[in-house]
Amino acid sequence: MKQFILGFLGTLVLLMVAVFGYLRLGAAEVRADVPAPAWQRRLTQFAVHAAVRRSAPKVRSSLPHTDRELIAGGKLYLDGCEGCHGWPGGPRRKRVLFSLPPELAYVGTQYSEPERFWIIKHGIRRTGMSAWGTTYTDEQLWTLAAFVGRMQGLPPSVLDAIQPKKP
Amino acid sequence: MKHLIAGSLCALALLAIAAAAYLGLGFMEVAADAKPAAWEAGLMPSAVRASVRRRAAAMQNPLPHADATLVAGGKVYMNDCVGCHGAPGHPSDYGVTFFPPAPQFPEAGSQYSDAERFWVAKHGIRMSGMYPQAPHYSDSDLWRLVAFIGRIGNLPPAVAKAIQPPAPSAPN
Repeated sequence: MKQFILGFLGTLVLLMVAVFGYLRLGAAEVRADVPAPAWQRRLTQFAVHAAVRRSAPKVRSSLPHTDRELIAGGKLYLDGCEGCHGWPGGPRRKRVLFSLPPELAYVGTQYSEPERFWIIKHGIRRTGMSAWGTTYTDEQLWTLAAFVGRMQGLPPSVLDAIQPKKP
Repeated sequence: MKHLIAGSLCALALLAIAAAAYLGLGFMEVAADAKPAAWEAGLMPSAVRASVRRRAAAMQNPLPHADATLVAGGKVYMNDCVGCHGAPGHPSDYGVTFFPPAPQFPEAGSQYSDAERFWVAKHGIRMSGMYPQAPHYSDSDLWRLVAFIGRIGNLPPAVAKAIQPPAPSAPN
């Protein structure tokens, strides 16, 4: 029994020392332009998804689902999100990044509207997703969350209203 | 000996189960606007620093220490970095909405050498908002930029004047 406990505690201490040494000696890869191994990307996405599901409010948007709200959200999107997350019909990215911002117009989103609202408001730590809760009101955040959910099938009239064609 | 190994394996199995439950059940903190735990705030930035110091080649900035270098670097900075890292006298409200927050160079300065800044600017920092600049700028532009950042808290007045305007501090 004494041996068992020694093995148990010894392993825990060794692991802690190993992790601490790994970090402190600078062995961790920090370059954003070096692709992360697939298991790491998958595990991160899985854990973030689970955490968002747990944390996001269980409330629905109180805004009506009209083109007006969609256009308002689209204008905010064009202003603050398009640079990283892209635009319908826009160029695809060739960059390799960790973590890579999702190209919402092409891949859509796996999150519900309240979850999107929560992500935009609080951001996602250890990614390039900043917290917008200090910039936008909750109502503006809901229009954004709604817009992102509809990005893959926007009526041309809405697209036009968001971004008038340049003459 | 058998018991020692059994205890060790038991510890590993328990840890694996605990980690899987922690991640799978969504207990990991993901909100960028939540305060980090003290151990995280202490350990993670030093891990990044250690990794940069270890990997960045020990190069000298090949450019002359001249005002022209600083002005050229300052123009790059005011164009592409200022949105998150702040302008002299104007910290960025946007940069602090990331986790980890973007360092505000004009106030905080930089703890890296020119060569280390060059390496960070070129490759970016994984799991942060710092994306690689290599696709957008040549090596010489990046050397100009890092020379400027090294002097940003203490710019010659002529340089400070030459890089204004433009000085927008809006996001993007």
